[in-house]
Amino acid sequence: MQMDLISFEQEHDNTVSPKKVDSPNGYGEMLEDDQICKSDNLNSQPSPSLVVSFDDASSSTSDATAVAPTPSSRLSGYFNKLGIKGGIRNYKRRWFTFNDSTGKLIYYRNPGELTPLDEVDIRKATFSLHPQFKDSSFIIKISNDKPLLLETNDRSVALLWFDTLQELRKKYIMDEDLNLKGQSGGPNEFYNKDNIPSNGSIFYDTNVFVSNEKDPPVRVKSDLEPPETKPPNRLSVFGRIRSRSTYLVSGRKESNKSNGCSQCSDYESSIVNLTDDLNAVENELEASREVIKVLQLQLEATVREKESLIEICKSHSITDQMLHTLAQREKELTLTESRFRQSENKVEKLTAESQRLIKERDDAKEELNLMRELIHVKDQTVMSLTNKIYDLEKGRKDETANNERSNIRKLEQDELESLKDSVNAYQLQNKCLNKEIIALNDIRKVLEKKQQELQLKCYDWEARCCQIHSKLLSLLKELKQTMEMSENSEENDPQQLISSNQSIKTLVTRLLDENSLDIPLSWKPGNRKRSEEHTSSSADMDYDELGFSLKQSDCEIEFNDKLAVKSEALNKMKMKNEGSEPAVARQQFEWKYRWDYFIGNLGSNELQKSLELKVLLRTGVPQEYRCKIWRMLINIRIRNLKERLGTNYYQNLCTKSAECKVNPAAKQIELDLLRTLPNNKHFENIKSPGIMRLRQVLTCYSLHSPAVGYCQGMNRLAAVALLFMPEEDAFWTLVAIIENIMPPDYFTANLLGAHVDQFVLRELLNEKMPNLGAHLEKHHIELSLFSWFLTCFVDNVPSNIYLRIWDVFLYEGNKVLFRFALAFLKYHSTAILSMNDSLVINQYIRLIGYRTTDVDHLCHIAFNQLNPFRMRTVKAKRLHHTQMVTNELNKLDSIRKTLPVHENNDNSDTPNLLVLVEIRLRGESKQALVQADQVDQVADLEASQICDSQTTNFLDCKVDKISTTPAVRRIAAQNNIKLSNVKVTGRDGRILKEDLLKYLEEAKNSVPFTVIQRAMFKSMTQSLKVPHFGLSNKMTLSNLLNILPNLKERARGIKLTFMPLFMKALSLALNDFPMLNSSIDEKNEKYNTYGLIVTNIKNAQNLSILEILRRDDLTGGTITSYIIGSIGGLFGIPVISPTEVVIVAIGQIRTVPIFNEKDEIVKGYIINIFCQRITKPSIE
Amino acid sequence: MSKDYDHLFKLLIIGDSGVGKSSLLLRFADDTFSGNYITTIGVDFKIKTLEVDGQKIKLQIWDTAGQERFRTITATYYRGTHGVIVVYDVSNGDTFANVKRWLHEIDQNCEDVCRILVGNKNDDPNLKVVLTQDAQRFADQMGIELYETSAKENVNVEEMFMAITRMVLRSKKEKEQRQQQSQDNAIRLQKGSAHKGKKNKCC
Repeated sequence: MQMDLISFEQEHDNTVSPKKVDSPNGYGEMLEDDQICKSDNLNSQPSPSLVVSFDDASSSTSDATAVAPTPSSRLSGYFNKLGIKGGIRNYKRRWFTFNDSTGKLIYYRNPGELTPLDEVDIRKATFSLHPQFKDSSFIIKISNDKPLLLETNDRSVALLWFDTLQELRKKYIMDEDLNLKGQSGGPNEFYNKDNIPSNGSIFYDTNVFVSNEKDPPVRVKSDLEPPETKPPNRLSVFGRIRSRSTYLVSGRKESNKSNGCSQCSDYESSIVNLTDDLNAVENELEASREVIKVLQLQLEATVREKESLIEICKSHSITDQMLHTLAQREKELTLTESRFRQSENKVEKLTAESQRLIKERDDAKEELNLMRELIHVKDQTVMSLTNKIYDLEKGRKDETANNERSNIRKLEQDELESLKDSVNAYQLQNKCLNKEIIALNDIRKVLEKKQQELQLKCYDWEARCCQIHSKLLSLLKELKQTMEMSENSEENDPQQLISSNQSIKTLVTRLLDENSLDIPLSWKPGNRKRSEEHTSSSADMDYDELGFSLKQSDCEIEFNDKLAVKSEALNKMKMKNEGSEPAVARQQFEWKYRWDYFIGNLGSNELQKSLELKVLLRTGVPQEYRCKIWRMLINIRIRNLKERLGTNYYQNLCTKSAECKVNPAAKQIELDLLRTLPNNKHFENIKSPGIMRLRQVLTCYSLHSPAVGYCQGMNRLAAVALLFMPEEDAFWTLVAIIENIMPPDYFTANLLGAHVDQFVLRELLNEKMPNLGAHLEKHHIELSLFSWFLTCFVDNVPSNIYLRIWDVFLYEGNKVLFRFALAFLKYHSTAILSMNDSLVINQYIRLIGYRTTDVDHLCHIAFNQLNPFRMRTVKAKRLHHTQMVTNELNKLDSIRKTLPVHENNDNSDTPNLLVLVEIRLRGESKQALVQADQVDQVADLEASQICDSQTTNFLDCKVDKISTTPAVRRIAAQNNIKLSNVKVTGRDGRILKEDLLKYLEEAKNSVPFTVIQRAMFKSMTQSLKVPHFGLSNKMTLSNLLNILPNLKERARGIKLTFMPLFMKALSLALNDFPMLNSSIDEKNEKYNTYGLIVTNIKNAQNLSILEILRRDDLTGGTITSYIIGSIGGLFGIPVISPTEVVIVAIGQIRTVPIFNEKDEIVKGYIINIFCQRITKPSIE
Repeated sequence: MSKDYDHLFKLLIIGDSGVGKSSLLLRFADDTFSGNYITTIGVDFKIKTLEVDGQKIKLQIWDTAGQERFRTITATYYRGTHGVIVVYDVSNGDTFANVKRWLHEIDQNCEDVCRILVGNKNDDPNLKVVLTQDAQRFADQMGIELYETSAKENVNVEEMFMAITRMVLRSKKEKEQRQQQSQDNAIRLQKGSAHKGKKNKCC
């Protein structure tokens, strides 16, 4: 504040210099600062700043002159004064006048008022213009007081006021100075200023000047003025007085008019006033007289001076003009001198001020620096403190975190350490255990090996023992013979004795020689070789002794099943391996022993068919004997063929195959080589020795039998043979299987044999397991076990099972295939019967081989539970089906030939062979469909195509067509229904839709014919075509029964039934009627009479009536007789078999009371006989 | 017992020997592949359930032996088949040449069945001899879809089986629709036609 104050004073001083007035910029800045200060003050103490504005300059001034009651020549006029009250600016119009006597600017509300609102001492004031306000405004400021902002519309007026006020201020200040120094010069300037053109707002009043001139030096000064100027001054003074008096008069006049009683007092007062006035005027007059006196004195002095000056002038010859100028110069000189002093004074003041300011500034600077330093220090301390705080905070945080962490870490570490310890312990334990396991495993292996070796040795020794035993026996026998001989011919022939001795000797030497041979090696060279391979193989754990991968053997079965099957198998194995099952172990041992014994007995002899061998084979052949036994079995079968073909036949074929490059079968063989036994290591890649041999064998066979060539499935047969036998023997095995064991046409182009066997199998199934057969039929499951028959079970069956089958198969022939196929089904019959979804059953049967774990049980079923199982039955069925299938084949062949022929790329196969009955049936339905379609088409086309050729067809059809709607026909066509089969209920034999739907419903529930039933149906319907009659009779068998015991005695154990007796009787009867022993030739309409009597009836007692009718071995006969008595039937009307002439049904023998010749009731035996025979007059 | 599927379709895979029929099936059903799958003697089958358009479809896929002489056996299996997959080997021209014969075989044994042509072993461009455009032309000519697959690399196998399944499903639905339509028509005919007209027109 102090500073502000100082600056304000400074400003105040500055305003004195005219230079500053010209440059208001510096002012503005100062003022602005000042105003800010002021505004600050305003808030605390409401002191309105006064701004005088010179409103409407010209008019207001004119107003002033007009309105003013005393038109004095004073500086006066209207200004708008800015007042700020509480921050709100408002301009107030005020009348400003300048009081010359006091040197103060006074303002009123109105010009007429006596009491001023306020006054401003001009001598103390500073003037400034402010750029913030209008340029027609200026500010008057007194130190420590509020600034006065005056505003007018005219800039020039404002400037004029500004200048005038400045001049006045200067003048007053100068006067003060003059009073002090006794110098003059101001009025001169004032007069000069008088020359400035006025706008009428400024009035120069000399009277004022005069009245102000209280000090004589001033007057002295003014004496310097030229005297011409005086009179107007006085005039004006007088004028003013005059005007004032007139005013007073007029005022008096007015008061006279208005008041009567108060007039006296008014007059009195006016008189007082007038006397006062008079006194005053007198005083004035006196004063003026004194003035005149003074002036006269002065005049005299000046005259004197003038005279002296004239004298001087005259003396110095200086002109008046020169004098005048000199005086003027002098005046100017004094003026400038005074100015100079003034300015010097100011400079001094200013310098002092500036020094003070500088000092202050320095102080301030110092203080500032101090403060700065202080601030700096404080900042630093603050910084350091904040840093410290931060550090502390951080530290604290870290500390807490560290604390926690360290705690956790400690815990963790502890835990970790303990865990580590335990881990280490476990690891150690694990290691130890692993080692232990390995060690134990090693020991186990070693022990196993040892055991195996020991076992082998044991077997060897056993075999040897057996052999020796047998040899010993034979030797003893021989010895005994010779002993006997020697006894008999003791005295007769010494020669004989010697010869017998010699024979003994040779026998002994032979035996010794044989003994010297290593017997086990002779029968197991292949095995030894294999065992070597076995041991040399590094991954021996993955393969079994035959080279089958253990991993893949049962990969076919789904996971769940696999587990079940496996667990079962393992259980079995456990049972077998465990010593706790001594029975099994003993059985095993016995089995081995028996084989050893057998082999030992066999010696080097050829194998002969025998019951013993058959039974032994059914128990399975030990692995080590398989090679030998199989070879022998094969040899039995093809010994003759081999002899016929010569010893080098195979070698020749090999060379032939090497030469012959165009083998049609080679392509397929090559394709199948790797796909034969992919899970066996001997056949696993193209370079395996097994593959080479397999190729050779198959190629040779295709050359050996071009009709067969190569058929898929043969590869498996050859491969299995190769597992045990060398190449050539494998070849011969293949030959034996295809040409000897299997029925003909099994592998030929149409696979006829295999096909037929499927039908046979189905039939056998229905016979052996009728419920299973019905179950499968119910779910429409086609047993498709081709693969088993074509490969002898080397498909979807584990190797251990099919090798067992092979053992028997090679000896007993292909009936074994049926046995086992059925045995598999029987084994799982309960499981299959429990299933009710065809998909599930199909899937089950597909992998039935892998589901079978107990081979012995399977064999038991096959060989015991399925009995009786005769080859004859199978053959008979085969014959029947072969005929049927061949017939179908021929028919289809002809159908096929009508179809467009296409290229045949596979030369080894002959195409155009579609065999199946189903196809034929579908062919029929196809025709029916075509017809139905045609009808539909025509019905749709209706009358528009009546003339078309198709319509003739339609009309043709119409004749024998059943009447119905096209919709029904369509449904029938879609469902493959013959409309003629539908039961009709509509009018005029029309088939209604309901009829068809009903039929469909029935069809859903009905079961289609089996092959057997179909055949039966066919033959029986056929028989109805033949005209025939029936004859029934009763016969007594008393006589026959009488001789029966006798006959039975002669039969010697053979079961005697009545059948042969009847047959005999019938055949004897035929002798009398040879015409009946004939068959009908339908085509030629004649009888073929046979002289021979052939009775075809076999096993009739074991067969059902229906079966007899379709027995193949009955075809071609002449008379059929069947016995219904065996099943308890009394009467039967048999159906005559086509081509035969007579059929006889014989009922049960019944015991009834009858009358004999003597009319006595006796026990009698009666049978009913019903005979049907062809009606033919000639026979009659 | 409730059915665990909406439709049951029977598919048949035919084609020359060694084109990879079994491998395709094995890849599709079990997602495995073995370079030397054992030869199929007669027929074999696998079951796979899949979902098409939100319907559970059980596929019973029959795999047949490819050798010519087994056709007598496999012919049985055409009956009731909904779709037949004819496979050839893209690396063996002969197998492609035989496709026509197999298609003929279908015509002979089936009435109305969906067919699809598949070129298998499409995994080695160097060995490929049956060009795609040739096969495509042939397929267009015969009006059947062609797929080139690789059971080995599992390329297109799933897609192919899905395609044939969709085809079968579509044809079944169409058939049902037709049947429905024909039944509707029939009813209208009976109702609309007078007794006289009926006699003349229908019978």
